[in-house]
Amino acid sequence: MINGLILKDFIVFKKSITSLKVILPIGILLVLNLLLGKNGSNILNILIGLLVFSLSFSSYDEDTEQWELFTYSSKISNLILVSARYIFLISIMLLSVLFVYLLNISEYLLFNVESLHFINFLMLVILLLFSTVVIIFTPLIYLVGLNNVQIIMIGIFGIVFVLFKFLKIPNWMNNLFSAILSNNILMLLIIISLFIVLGTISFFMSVFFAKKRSLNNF
Amino acid sequence: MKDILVVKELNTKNKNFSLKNISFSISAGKIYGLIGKNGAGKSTLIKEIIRKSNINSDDVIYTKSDSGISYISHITSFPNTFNSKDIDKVCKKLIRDWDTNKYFNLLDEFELPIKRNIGELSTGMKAKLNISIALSRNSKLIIFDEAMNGIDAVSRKLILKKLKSNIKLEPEKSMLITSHVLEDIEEISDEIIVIRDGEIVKNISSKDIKNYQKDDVLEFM
Repeated sequence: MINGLILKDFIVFKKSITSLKVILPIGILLVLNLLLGKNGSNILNILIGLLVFSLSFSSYDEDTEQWELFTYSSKISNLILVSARYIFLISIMLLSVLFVYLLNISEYLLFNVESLHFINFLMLVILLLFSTVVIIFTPLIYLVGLNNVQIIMIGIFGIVFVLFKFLKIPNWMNNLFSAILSNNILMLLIIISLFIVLGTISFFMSVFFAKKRSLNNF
Repeated sequence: MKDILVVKELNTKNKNFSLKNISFSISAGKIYGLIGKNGAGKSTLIKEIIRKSNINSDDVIYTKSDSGISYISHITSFPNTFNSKDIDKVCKKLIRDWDTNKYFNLLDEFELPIKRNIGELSTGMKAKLNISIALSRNSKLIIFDEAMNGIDAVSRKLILKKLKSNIKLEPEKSMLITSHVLEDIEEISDEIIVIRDGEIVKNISSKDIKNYQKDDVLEFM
């Protein structure tokens, strides 16, 4: 049952990523980055990753009342619906991060920009950032709908990028990431545990809001 | 004849609408027509049936609850970017009793294009696709909620004929069809339930249906 829901989201994602309006900006960003060569920016790669990752949220667009009636009448519970959505979002998040990582590694090999240490650091930041998006925005979407959340998401991402680009990363954050990257297993475990706890809270909040929405709809 | 669905003194009160003391039952092998003007409470009643069939309630008892209810309306439940093949891929994994062969046979009978996206289909084609989805499941109760809205006369006739032949082939199933168009209901139903302002005002059984003229039913609406 859950496989069917995940497959549905993947088909929606595949159809949106293969449309010209998505391929074109991704292509332009990639060409731009190649043309910039050594001056190419990791930020551009992150933007590409963000674009790919944000497409995963298009699956919410398809949660129409008719779809909800279809799943409800087919005895598919909100727990299964939300579980499938989280599995799908996490999969796309990992694929997006991997995509950005490959782009950065290619640039490193081609132009020898940045150090591998910096690339790893950057990937960790992106992974945590994207995870935070899933953790915060998934329950919010079930609560207030995709359109309202999209505006909030664009705003927050804008601010975060500006902060990372123009301001110095706070020392404590730098120390934290350095500690993780310098094989500090304990620190890494703490971070992973924290995200697992937050992810679990986020998941159950989503199930709660999805149930509430079903009750309001029917 | 064994009842598949029993609705017993169902009362609900929403913000804008309430259903009052609704009682009727649905038996296997029959097509039931639920008719009423726009806003009479047809869709509210259908939603209540679906909602309460999923929980153990005293006022809506669905005896075949294991198989779920097959529900469709005039709007397709699947994304507009999907084609008929995508729907089959998903339903195969999503719905336990999905019958792929039956689905493709129905698409073939309705002469529906397999690779064209839902968004590119005409209203009539969408209705035929929805009906193919509903009939490809082995649910014992199939609900068509205004499923024939906006369809031309030729497609309408073809769909009604298909529904009639389907219930003859699978007498263990039953259908509940809602519409505000009396002709659809009249042509196909074994029993007609007339709803007005959230209340059932007339329940015309199969025995009596022949004694009623179109104007008699219209009077109740």
